Amino acid sequence: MDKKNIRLKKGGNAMMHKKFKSLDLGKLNSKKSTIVSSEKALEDIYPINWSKNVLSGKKKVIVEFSK
Amino acid sequence: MCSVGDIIIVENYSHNGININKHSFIVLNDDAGQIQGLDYNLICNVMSSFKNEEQKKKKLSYPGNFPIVPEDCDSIQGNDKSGYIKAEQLYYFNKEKIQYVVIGRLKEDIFNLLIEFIEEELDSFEQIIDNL
Repeated sequence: MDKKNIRLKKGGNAMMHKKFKSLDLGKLNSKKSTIVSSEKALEDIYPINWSKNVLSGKKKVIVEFSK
Repeated sequence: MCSVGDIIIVENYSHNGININKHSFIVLNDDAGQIQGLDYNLICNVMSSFKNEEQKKKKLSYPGNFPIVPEDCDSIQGNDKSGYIKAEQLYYFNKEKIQYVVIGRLKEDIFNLLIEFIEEELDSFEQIIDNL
């Protein structure tokens, strides 16, 4: 699958809820899975520092494809 | 209240009783279920920024990491204003046991691409259930 670059932006009115395809857990049954600790899973994760406007709810983050 | 496609920040994420930094997650599924005998009603991917340019190249070379470019964030940890969604890790939560805030959402086409990738392309994945 070709992943396109996607980007984040703060948006205003484009937050309408559409129908999203929820993850189908049945499709994961045939895949190999392992249970790992949060500590292990998050060891190379660097939290995103959102702006105050985002954290206060004044602005919403929208993730969309790069144009 | 969150729904599929939302970006949330989990406020009280903890491991072994120790609070971990506030992390951002993408809501993939909000149906109730059980895993290892534990109730959950939220499955998410975590979002991450990059530590540095070297790590960025390394992370983006891995197919399970979806690149994102935050346009309007005031500050991102590391030296680059971009990040990624770690698709091969599924974090299980019980909404009644966590505090979270919805800060945004993915556009439908991107979200469905992410779901399609997880369902069709990933050979294996990791499950994180110690928050339940």
